[in-house]
Order: sequence, then C-alpha cells, then structure tokens
Amino acid sequence: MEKCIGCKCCEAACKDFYRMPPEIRWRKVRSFEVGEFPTALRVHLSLACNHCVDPACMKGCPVQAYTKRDKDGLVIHDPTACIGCQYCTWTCPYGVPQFDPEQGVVSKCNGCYQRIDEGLMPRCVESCLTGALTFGKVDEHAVRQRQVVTEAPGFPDPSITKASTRFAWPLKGPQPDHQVLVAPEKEGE
Amino acid sequence: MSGSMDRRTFLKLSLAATATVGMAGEAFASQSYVSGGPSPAHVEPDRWVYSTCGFCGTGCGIEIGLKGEQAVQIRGTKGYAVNDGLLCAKGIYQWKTISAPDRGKSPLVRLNGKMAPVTWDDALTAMTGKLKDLLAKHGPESIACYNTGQLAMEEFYVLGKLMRAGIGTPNLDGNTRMCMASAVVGHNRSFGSDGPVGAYADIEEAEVIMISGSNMAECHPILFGRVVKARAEKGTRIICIDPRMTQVSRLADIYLPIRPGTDLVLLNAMAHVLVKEGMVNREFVDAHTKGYEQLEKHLEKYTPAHAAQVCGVPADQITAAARLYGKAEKSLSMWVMGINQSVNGTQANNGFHNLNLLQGKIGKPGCASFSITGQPAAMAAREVGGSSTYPGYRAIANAQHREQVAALWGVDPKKLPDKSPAVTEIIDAIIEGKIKALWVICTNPLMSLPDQNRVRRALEKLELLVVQDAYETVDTAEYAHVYLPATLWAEKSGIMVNSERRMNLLKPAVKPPGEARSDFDIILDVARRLGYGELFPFKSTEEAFEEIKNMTRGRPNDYTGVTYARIEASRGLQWPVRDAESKGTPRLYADGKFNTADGKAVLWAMDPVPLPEVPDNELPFMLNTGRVQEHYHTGTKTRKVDELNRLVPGAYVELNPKDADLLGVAYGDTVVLENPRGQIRCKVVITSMIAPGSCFVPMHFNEGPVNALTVWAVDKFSKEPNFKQQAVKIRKA
Repeated sequence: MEKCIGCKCCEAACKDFYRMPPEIRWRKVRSFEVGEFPTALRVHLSLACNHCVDPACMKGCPVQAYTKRDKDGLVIHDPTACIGCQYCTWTCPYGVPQFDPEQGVVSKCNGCYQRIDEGLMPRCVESCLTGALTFGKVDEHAVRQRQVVTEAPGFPDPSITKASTRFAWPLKGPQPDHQVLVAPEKEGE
Repeated sequence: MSGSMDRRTFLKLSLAATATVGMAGEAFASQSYVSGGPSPAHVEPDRWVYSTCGFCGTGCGIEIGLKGEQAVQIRGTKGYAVNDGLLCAKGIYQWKTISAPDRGKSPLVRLNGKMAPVTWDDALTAMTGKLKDLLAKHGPESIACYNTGQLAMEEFYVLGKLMRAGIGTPNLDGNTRMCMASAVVGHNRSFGSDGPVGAYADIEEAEVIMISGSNMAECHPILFGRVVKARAEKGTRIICIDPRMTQVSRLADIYLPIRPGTDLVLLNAMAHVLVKEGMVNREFVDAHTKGYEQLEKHLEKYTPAHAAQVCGVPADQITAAARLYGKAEKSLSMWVMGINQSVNGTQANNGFHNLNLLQGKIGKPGCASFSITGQPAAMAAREVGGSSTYPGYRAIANAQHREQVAALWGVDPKKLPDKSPAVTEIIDAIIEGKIKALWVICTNPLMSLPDQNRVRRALEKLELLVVQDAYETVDTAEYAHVYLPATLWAEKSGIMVNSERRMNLLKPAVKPPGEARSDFDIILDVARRLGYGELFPFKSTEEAFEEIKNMTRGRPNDYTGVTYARIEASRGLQWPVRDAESKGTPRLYADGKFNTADGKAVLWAMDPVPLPEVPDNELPFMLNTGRVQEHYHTGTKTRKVDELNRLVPGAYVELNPKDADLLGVAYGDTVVLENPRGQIRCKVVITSMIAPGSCFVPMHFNEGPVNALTVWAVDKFSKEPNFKQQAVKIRKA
C-alpha cells in the first residue's frame, strides 16, 4: 500500500490478457482517503481473489465448480461446470466472484494458475510498475523487509475464510497495532 | 491528519464508502455494457511487431501482437531502456483504439451542409483547388496549418518543408505550443538551444528528485514507477511542488502545496538559500555560466520569508527543500505542465535551470534540469521544423539559419518565412479575416485551445477547414469542409522521439482501415498537387529520413549516425548520434560547453508577472485543468476504450469537502461551472486532494469541455497558454 500509486495497470493487464467483458473486474483497485488538505492521505488497495485457506465460495457451490489446488492453494473456478446460480457471489465476503450475464456464469480470478505452472508470475504482479504487488507462499513471502498484516482498510474480517492476502500498510498515517513478520525467523537469530 | 485519524477509523473505512470518496468512476458506474465474450478467453498473438507507444512523451517501447491481420494485444518491449516490458493502463488497452468504429475510412467533403464520402482525388482536388485560389488572391499568409506532437518525425519534416519552402506561409504551429513551448524557450534562453538535458537513468542515479507541477503518477506512470522503485530500493528523497495533492505528494519527503502560479517565487527563494548558505558551485558557475553577479543581487529580496507570504507555504519548509536539494551530491528536477502552461512558464523553466546551473548539476549522472514532454513525437516536431523552428533546431528569426536551410533545400532564402506566429495568433488572425484556410492535422483544437467560444468563432469564419485525423468524429471536424482519413501510429513507419531524446521506430503492423492513408502520403500528395513535388524526391519515410539527417549534421540534434536498423537493434538511440560508431548521448552538456555563442549557460534574474485572472467575489474558485491516468488529451483515442470509460466515464469537477458543503452539493451531483467566457456542466467528485477555494476539471470530456472556461492569456516568451489558473463560479445544476 506504500508503493501502490493506483495506476490500475494490474487490473488492465489482467483484464486485457483474459479478454474479460468491460463490466467484469477480477482485480479491482480501490482508492480511499482520510484527513484534510494539505495533509490528507489517499491510498489504494489492489484486490482480487484472496485464495482463502477456507474458501466460502467453494462451500456454497452446489456443482463443485470450485477446486482448491493442493500444491499451492489457488482457488480455481471452472466456468464450464458453473450453472450460474450465483450462490458464491453471496457467500464470498469479499465480493470476488462476479456474475457475467452475457455468459450466464460466474467468473473469478484464478491466480493465473496456468502461468504459475509455467513458472511465470500472475499478470497483475508482472505488470505492476512499482513492485507493490508480489506473489508467493504466504509463510515465506517476498516482502521480507516490511512487516505485513492480514487486515486492511475496508477489507472484511479475514479470519472468517482465512484469506491468503497480506498487506503492507503505507508508512505515513495510522499503523497496524499487531504486526507480524511473515518471513520465518532464521535459526540462530 | 494523524491527529484526527487513528488506526481504528482507518480500518473502518468501508470499501463502499471509500469508493464514493476516492474514485471518479464508481459514482457513475450505472451504465450498462455489452459483454465482450467468454472469459477467460486469452488470445495469444502469433507474431509481434516492434513499435513505440503512441501516447505520452515517456516513449515506451512496445510490441504489437497480431493474430492474422488483427492487432490483439500490446506488450512492453523487454529490455527497452525506458519501460523494460512494462506499460501503463492506456498503453495496455491501446490496440483497441485501432479498430474503433469511427475510424475514418473515406475522405469526406461538405456538400449542402453535410459531409459526404468522396474519392481521394475529389477531396484533394477540392482542398488544393481552394488553396491555389487563396494563394493567387490573398497570398501565402492567408493559409495556416495547425498540427500535433503525435506524427512521425518524417511527417513533421515534409509538412514543415511544404508550408515554409513550398507555400511560403509563416503560419505553421503545433499543439506542442499548448504543451512544451515554455520548455523550448526555457532551454533556448538558458542553454542556447532546445533539448532536454538529462536521461531517465538519472532517476535511479539521483539522491533527491524534485517533482514540480507534475502529476507524474497519473500522466507519466512508467516514469513515476521508476521513481517509486528508486525510493523503495535506494531511499531516494522526493520533493513535491504542486498546489494539488497527488500520489507524488503522498510519497514526498517535503511537500510544498504552493498557491497556484507562484512557482517562480519559490524557485527564486530556493536559489536565495543556495546562495546564502554557500551551496553554489563557484568553480562551475565561473567557468560555464554568465549572469551570476546580477542574479545574486536580484535574489537578495527573495528570502524564504518573502516566498512564504507569496506561496502560502512555511518559510522553514522552503529552506528545508533548498537544503535537501542543495546538499545532495546528485539531484534531479522534473516538471511538466503545471510549470509550462502558465504566463510565467518560460521564466519558471529558467528558474529550474538556474538552480541546477548554480550547483553545476547539469550533464552528470543523477543530475538534470529535466522537462518531461507530453506527446510521443513532440520532440521530433521541435527538432525537424514541424512547428516553430527550422530543421536541426534552427531558429526562424535567425537569418544565418534560414540561409543554411535554404541552401540545403535549394530554395531562395527570401522565400523562407522569418516569423512563426503561435496558434493563438493564428486564431486571432482568422477572426480578423487575414487567414482564410486552416489545415488541422492530428489534433483537436476545438477541445484543446483555450476559450472554446473564441475558437468556434474562428472555425466558423474559415473559407476552408481541412481536418486530417484518424477519427472522423473528432470534434473539430464539426466545422470541416474537407475531412481526410489518416492512419494511426500502428499503421505506418517513421521515428518518434521521447523526453530523453531517445529516437525509436514505428513499423507498420496492421493495414489502415478502408482508404485511410498515412499523413506522410497525404502531405506529399498535397505538395505534388500544389506544384511543389520537386521538393520531395522520396518515396518512403526512410528516404526522407536520409535528407533529415543531412539537415541535422553538425547541429545539436545530430542524427548522422542513425539508421532505422540501428534504432531497432539498439532499442532506441539518444541523439546526438554523430557517427555510425556513436552509441548515442545520454546527457547533454557533459563537457560544460553550452550552445550559446560563447559556450556559457545563462543565469536569469527574473520576477514573475501577475496571473491573468485570480478569484474574486464574483468568480470565487481557482480552476485548474489537467489529465487523469485513464484518458489522454481530448479523449479521441481513450474514450473509444470501454474498459477505460468504465473507470472514468465522464466530465467531473474535483471539489474540497468544505466547498462542497458551502455549495450544498454531494458526490455525483451535477454542477454548472461558469465565467464570462462560457459554462459547462459536470459531476461533482469530493476530495481533500484539492485545496479549499480551488477546483480541478480534466480536459478529456467533450460533454463538459473545460476549455470553454480557460483564459485567453499566454506566456510572453513562449506564447504558451495559461491553462492552470482561471477564475470560475460554481452552482448546483
């Protein structure tokens, strides 16, 4: 959140790569601001699927259109199995699955799993201009210099579904009060 | 802020609420859209064509992905020194502008009040017939051409040659006048010739970067991404000077929210601190500049306390900024339109050059006085005579330069015009009846020039208005007698030049729609029909470039060692490239020799002129204009992209919450902005990024054209209009 400048390149790169209809946004960049001129703070939050440990979308799906991969935990939605009942759009606390009326099915960020399998980064991470987005295993995340937390402004209580998204708050302004180090402590330190 | 804001409130900001505070798009996202097809439906291109981005002056290297004959994707060129594979959102979606339904496919001529499709022969016969008529009856000065910063270098060159050596009219200007004219004149006055001195690589080298009058995060996102990375990885310190808060100000170590239009006073005060606190590099100043004694005396009165009164920021912050900038070994200044588009634009440019010259921070890695350009080939237009110069940075008013050009072109030097009126003067001359024909190429003056109603009066009065553009719906075509469909950047070949003097190549990737032709072909055809064919003995842009190289040999922008093949192989070349061995020149003036007669740079002692308009009881708001990251200029390209329109769909005005309260308006309400020049309607976006008493309207939207309100006043040196400060009143619609 410190590095994000709200340029929406992540959203554009994702959307352009997967040829989504204009109204579907797998990744969304939200902006919010606090304070008053000239010390106001405007920060951005780039959010997509949180690939939860305990995905609510999956629980709500009557046709098992969702799978959670064993090897990396990505939650993948299969539009060919989807019947468009939209239960998942209700059960997901983050509003991630979106109904595409044209196709009659739900559509959701798949974490670019095909690209991951090829050893590439997701499109959003690859296209980020400032290095604000990173991707990796939750417990050995690349953002080692910064303390990161599971909560962010406007982000629903992450404990419900154990969201896998981690945030590093902006350096200016209020700070999270229970910071956790994601990088495991090295032995002997 | 921190006083009123704790962690709990920060967290409680719900996304629904924040969307209404922060995002222009969310408030209006009620339109319905047709779904574009299955998703995910990735289309993998089967080949990629090397090219250059057609949006801003950052000049990213791109590759156009083709599936069959269609462009289906655009990606950044990996390893390209500017963007190394990255692109901004506009750049990513750019391929969608190629197949927009309103691309011009046939020439049109106005018959009985309506535009009707005709053959190229009919359209150009109508155009050149009228031009010949006017030439015979009223002489060359009755003809004018207003162009752009978005053609290829070769197109600017042939256009300049046709207008000046062929038709012989002085009336040739570009929309670069709206954009970089103050930077051009600023360079000329300080360094003896035009041309930005630094390189983008200075961003990574600098210890301190001062960004002024530039919302770089939105308008040059690729460059700002490099700044953010440098800050995160190397601890680069940032100074931001801007009356409006942006992402640049958020990341700044020192943020100076000065009163609109007071830049020069601030820069003088910073120079005052450098002088008083012994931060001047006397060795450099004595050896390579002139005017120091006079400047030192002049700066006496510009104390930080004085500047604090004028600029509305604390004196100690001004001193702190000067110290941070001055004490660093390597510091870099970057600025754009907030500085240039002002009656003090040229002088403020010289103010930055003063700061850097005083410290000898020119021509060294990490040090530069860097004016960023706004258009992909604005630099090319400046370099080869597309607007207010002769090729090779030769000055219009310089008789010796005109003789050199005449000799190279094989024409009588007396034929070459010795003046070059600005577009605002051209518009006035049309209203006075002196200019009767205007040829508009790849720009949209009805939406972009100040004081729209005045521009309408001029366009209505023309006996011949030719609009040459890729889109037949371009607003200015409303008044056209002839419309000529032109190609877009992806459909032609040529060279573009970015802010760091990097020349890069356009290669034709897709076929133009219908009968659209490249601007190069159209200009040559017009030239032949007017009887000036012998001036243009070439068939391709590459042949034209050989002649251009000849024009620049020995000049500051020497392209002698450049070929199309070398540009592609070396992923762009920064001029001067004096021979085939040269790898280009990242920084100008590294040897301390400037392009003035005596080789010394000039330090200018300057006082600002008053703003043309300030708010009063009648018109209480200061109106600022600019761009948003989702759109470009008058939106003729970006508003064809649904994805971008969804993010920012229409005209809006940014208001401070306090002013919104006073006016009794809420987020998303429609308001009327007016002043004696005109009025517009737009939606309200409430944000604390804007100062109380100020408002901001982006320039992209023809349903709320902010140029209906902008003031008709120009910088006295550069003739660049003052777009950033005017007075308006606002009421609920």
